[in-house]
Order: sequence, then C-alpha cells, then structure tokens
Amino acid sequence: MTSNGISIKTDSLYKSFSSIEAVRDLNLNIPHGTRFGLLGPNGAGKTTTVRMLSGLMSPTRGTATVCGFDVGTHRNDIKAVTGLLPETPGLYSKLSAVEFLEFIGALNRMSGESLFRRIDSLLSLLGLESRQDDLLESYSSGMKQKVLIASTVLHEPRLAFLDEPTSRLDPSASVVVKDLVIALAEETDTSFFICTHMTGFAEDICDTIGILIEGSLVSRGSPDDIIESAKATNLEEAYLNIVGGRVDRQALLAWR
Amino acid sequence: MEVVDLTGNWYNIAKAEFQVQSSRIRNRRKAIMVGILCLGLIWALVVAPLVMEVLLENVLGISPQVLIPIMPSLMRVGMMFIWFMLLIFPLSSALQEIRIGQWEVLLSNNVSTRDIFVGTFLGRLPTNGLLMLFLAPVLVSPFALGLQISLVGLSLMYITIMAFTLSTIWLSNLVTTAIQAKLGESPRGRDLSNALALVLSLVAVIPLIGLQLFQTLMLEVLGMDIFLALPFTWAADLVTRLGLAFNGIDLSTSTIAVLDSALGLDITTDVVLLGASIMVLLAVAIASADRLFTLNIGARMETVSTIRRENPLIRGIRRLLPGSFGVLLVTALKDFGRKAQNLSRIALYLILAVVIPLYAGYRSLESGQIDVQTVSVMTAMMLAFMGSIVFGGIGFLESKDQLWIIQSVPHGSTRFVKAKIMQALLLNIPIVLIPATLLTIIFGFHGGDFLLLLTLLLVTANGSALVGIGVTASNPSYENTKSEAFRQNAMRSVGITVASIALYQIADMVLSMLGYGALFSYIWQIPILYLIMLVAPLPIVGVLTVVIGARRLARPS
Repeated sequence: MTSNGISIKTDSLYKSFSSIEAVRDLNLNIPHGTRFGLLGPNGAGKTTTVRMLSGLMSPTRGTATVCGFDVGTHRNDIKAVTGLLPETPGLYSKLSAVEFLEFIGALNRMSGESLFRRIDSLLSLLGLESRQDDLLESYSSGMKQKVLIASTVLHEPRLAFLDEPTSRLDPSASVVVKDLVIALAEETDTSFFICTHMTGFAEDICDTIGILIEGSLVSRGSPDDIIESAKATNLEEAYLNIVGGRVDRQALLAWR
Repeated sequence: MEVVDLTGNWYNIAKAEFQVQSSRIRNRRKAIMVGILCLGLIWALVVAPLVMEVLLENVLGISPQVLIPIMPSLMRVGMMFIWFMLLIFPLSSALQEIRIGQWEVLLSNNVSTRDIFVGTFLGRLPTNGLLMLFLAPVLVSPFALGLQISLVGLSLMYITIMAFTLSTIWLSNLVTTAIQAKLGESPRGRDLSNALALVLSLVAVIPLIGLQLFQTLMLEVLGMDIFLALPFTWAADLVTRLGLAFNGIDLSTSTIAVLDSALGLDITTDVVLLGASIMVLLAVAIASADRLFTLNIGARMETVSTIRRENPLIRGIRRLLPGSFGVLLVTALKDFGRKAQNLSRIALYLILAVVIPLYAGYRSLESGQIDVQTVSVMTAMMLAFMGSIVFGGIGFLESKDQLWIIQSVPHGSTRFVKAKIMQALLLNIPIVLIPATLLTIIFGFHGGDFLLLLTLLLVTANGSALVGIGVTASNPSYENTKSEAFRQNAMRSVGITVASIALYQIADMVLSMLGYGALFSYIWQIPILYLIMLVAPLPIVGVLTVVIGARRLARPS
C-alpha cells in the first residue's frame, strides 16, 4: 500500500446520524509531516472527522485514505500506524501511570525493557516521574491529559490524531505539549492532525489550518493565509470573523 | 436589583426532587399521582382486607383468628422487613448515584445543607408514602380481619406505621448524606460507594434468608428482650397493642395475658420510646446537616494510593506469559482486583453460593439424607446466575473514551476481550473452590462427590462468566448502573443463562413428544451424565455469546 507522500486524503467524506449531518462532503489532502489543525465551534464535526479517519467510525458515504490505507477496508493497518488522543480522558482509575502505559504498549504488542525505557522517558519529559506509581484516580485533569498524550505517541505512530490536546492543561504544560509535537514532527517526520479550540496554540504549532462549520470545511490554508483572507490581525480574530460568535452587548444585557 | 428571599429553598429542592422521582409521568404528573393516591386508599381500606380474607380462608384454608396468638412475632418480623427495605435499599440505590456535584451547585447558591436535607426528604415523601400505602395493608389486614378492628383503630395502626416509615426514611437520608459527603464524587468515592451499596444489599438479604432458614429460631430471637431496644420492635408492638385495644371480638383474658407477656412493654412506654426516637432522629439530623458537607469536603482529594511491589501471582503470570498478552492479563487482574465494588460483588457471589444450597439442603441435613444432586444443581445455578453479573456489567469498561483508546489499536478490542476471559477463568478457580470445599465439609460429601461438585461449578461459573462478558461486550454499560444498557444487559444475561440451563429439559420434552425419549430416559438413569448434560449448554452458549460480543465491540460505530 503506497501513500505517495500523502498522510490523509479524503474525497467527499460524509457522516450523518439520522437527520443530523455531522460531516458534509469533506475533501482534504494533507502531506506527510504536516501539522494540520482543525478548528471549529462545538458540534462542528471535528471529533466525528477524527473518529472516521482513525478507523473507529464508518463514514456514511465518501472515501478516505490514511497513510495510504483505506478507512473502509484497512482499519487495523491505519490503527497500527496512527495514535489517538480522545477528547475526554478514558483512563483506568485503578492503574498507575506506568501500568496504564504498559497496558497501551501491550495492546500495541510492545513489551520488555524497551517499552519501560520508552515509558520512563515520556513520563520524565511530561514531568510525571514523581507521581508515576500513584493510581490515576488521584491525578488532576491536566496530569491525566499528559498520561494520555504519552499513550498516544508511545508506539511512535506515523500520524497522531490529537482531539483537544491542551484543553485541560495549564499554560506551562501546554508549552511542553507544543514543544513535544514540534520535536516529534521535525525529528521523526510524524504527522499531526489536531482538533482544537485554542487558536493561539493552533497558530503556533500548525502549518496548515482548516475551519469546520456545521460539518463543512469553509476555510483552509496556512495560518497567515487564513488571517489575511479574513482581514484579521491574528488567528483568533480571523476565526471569529469566519465563524461568528462576537457578543452583542446590548442583546446580552437586554433582560435587565 | 430585586432581592430574592432564600428562606424557602427547601421547598424548591423538594419540588425538584419530586420532579426527578416522578419524571416518567411528567406529562400528566398531578392527575396520575392523585389517581394513584385514590387507588391506594381504596386498596388500603377496601380491597386489601377482601383479598386477604379470600387468600386466608378460601386459598390457604385458615381462619384469620388463628393468627392472633402469633400477631406480636409476625408484626415484629413485618416491621423488621420494612426497616430493612426502607433503610437499606434507598441507601444502596443512592450510593450508586453520588450527588456531590449537585450539592456544590446548590451550596454555591447560598442554600443551606439543612434545606437540601429537608427538601430531599420531602421531595421523596410522595413516592415513598404511596409505596407504604400499598404495602402496609398487606401486613395489617390479616389481623384487622381476625380481630375485627374498628376504623379508628385501623387508622391509628396506619398512622403508627406511617410515623415509623417516615422516621426510617429520614434516618436513611441522614446516613446517605453523611456517607456521600465522606466519600465524595471522586472515582475512588464512586468505587467505594458501589462496593458499600452491594454490601448493604447483602446485609438486607442475609437476615431474610436467615428468616426462611431458621424461621422458628428467628421468631424466638425476635421475642427476646434484646429486641425491645430496637425502634422497629416499639413500632410493631404499638401496632399490635392498638389492634388489641380496638378489637371487635371478645378476646378471652387468657389470650390477652399471653399476648401481653409476648409484647413485653406497655402501650405508654412504646408510644414514648417511639416518639422520643423520632424526635431525637429529627433533632440530630437538623443539627448535624449543616456540618456534614463542609466537614469532609476536602477528604476526597487527599487520598493518594501508590503502587508497591507486585504480588507473587502477578509475578508468576508475568513469568509464564512474558509477551504482550501477559501484560494485558496482568493489567486486567490489577484493574479488577483494586476495585472495592468488584471485591464486594465476589463476596456476595460467594456467600450466596454457599447460603442458597445450604438453605436447599438444610432439611435433608437435619434428616441425615443428603442429596448430592440437589446441592450440586443449586450451587451451580447460583454461580450461573451471579457469574454474568460479576464479570460482565460494570466491571468491564469504565467509559466510552476507554473503549475508543482500546479500539484505536489494531485488534485492540479482541485482545482486550481475550484478556478479560482469561482473567475470569483464573479468578473462577478460587471462587469455585471455596463453596465446593465448604459444602463438602458441611454436608460430609466423599471425594468423588467433591470432584463432581467442583467440575459442575467450574463449568457453570465459567460458562456464566463468558455470557456476562459477551453480553457486555455487545452493549457496553460502562460504570453506569442506572443506564438502559445496564438494565438490558442484566436481563439478557439472566435470560441467556436461564435458557441455556433449560435447554436440556426443553429438548427432553420436545423429543419425548416426538417419540425419541429413549435417549433421555437412559441419561436420566445415570446421575453424573444427567448433570453434565444439564450444564453443558451453558459454556457452549457462553462461547457463542462472547464471539458475537467481541465482534460487535470491534465493529466501527
């Protein structure tokens, strides 16, 4: 199976849940090594897109290939070369961080000394080594998110799907994640597909951005291109110009 | 800005609680509640006495007067049952739904804990009251018939039961609040709450089984002085006294003397004790309500459990299975074994696996003729019904996001299910050994009987575990015991288990009707063969269920 330097390619990818159209005819072409950011308001279809591309959800119609593998027929091949960070932490509360990462490694058929070395280095990088033997039930939301990030890149995937990776992290932890993503992308040629609300994070980290509104991709390009086309000074302003959502103060206080 | 008066917050909380309790009939709430109340009154005053009369005289063929001498003991048994029902089951149910998050919202809106406490109690009152309106007449009617109690007497008896009921619900509310505040809404708190809920149901079940098992002894014990110190005895004795005081028949002096001696305390003492206990309970709850939450709010954040060295069993498995599957198995065992709710479920499983066959074989133990077949089948049935709940249900996956993580790995869900199966098979070894050994000792079985019992129990326990895992994998319910998926899975698991066990009997019946009964007659003559044929379908159906479940779990949404 050849990917021809393309990490993700979708052709009219469409998903509906009964009468609700979650993703409408999505066309994407993302080269290897790209850090792609998918922005959009809540309910825009970002998570559904990630689930379809990672082989967890079948599209209603349309086609897509991930690292050269078809999402309809080669789901296990896609899973072998990708990593997924889900939107909310699905950790085992009664395992420690080391035990959880050992479990994820075992699911990926990793074991032995090399797995533990990898776990140690990731926990040290994310600043969790002092709490690595505590049960995950006692971790804060941010610490849980760090463990999940470690589990996503544990098996060195060629493409990592990160669904809201920094939504629960404090600013310094967000910087660690940002640096980790940039380092992995540059040193190992890992591609990233990142769903986020954090426009600042996306602007700093992503080389290509797509904006999704009600399941449709309304804008795509480099952060600079999007800022310029939206006649804005930064990505947040561009996002608000495209998506809307500025508050009308008079309407807001009309009840008084 | 207008200032809102916050003094009546208990009313708003009671209203919200009532709306939650009656959410299923929300479209016609008032009309249906009034209708049920009218039906309840008709039931209590007219229908229940008539039904009891028909049941006692026409069906059972006994006169209600026969019950009069044992009225004190039976009333105490009934009140004890109500006490457990109202104290334990709501407590057990509430513990599975920790509401600290709701409390935080209410407290941040300047609502006192006392208001939450009173409001919750009053909000639940209509549904609990209706429940008692339908249950209390079942207890009172036989004596009302026998003693021909007047309407005034009957009303006073119902009022006494109602006062006792309300105070018990109040106590249940207080204990639930205290436990919830102590445990908190952390994963650890939820785990301990679920474990406690299971233990409490055991506390309720065991005396009831004990009551059946040692009926005579229990009635004697309930008549002992020590029970005069318990509120349900005061309430029961007061109801009996009221029944006697307002009777419409001429009770002989000797009967009254016998009943008096059985009751122990006089009517005034009963009234004072019951009234005082209700007042104390009321005062304690109101006085402590405002302290309950704030005292323990920080405790839930402070407990950090750190992993120590792995135990010899885990190290042994690692040595036997050094690859990635060994790691999956070890992880499954650690995750299962560290959850208090799983351990309490296994404890419940073991206790029932011993108590139920003991109950079934008790008479034969007394007569000295032990029926190995009956004991084996009873124990196997118990393990079969409970096994699917222990290894399926809420012990399987914690959340949908956990499933996403497992599914995001090639063949992840299939390997996860295999690890869960291996974990169940391993844990079933000690689970089966314990009842088999205990029952062998109690009933004095021989070595051959022990092996037969052990084999049957292993087959049924493992078959049932496979059914539970398969059903839950097909339709994961995660940690939510209130979900539709959880209810569906429980029904499906029990249904599949019952059908699998009945399969041999059904085949026997159908084939005999078609003229092929010779084979079954032959099997029937050899007890071991019959027992094996009886339990054999369960593991086969279990394997099929688990294969279907694993496939469904791996399927993309």
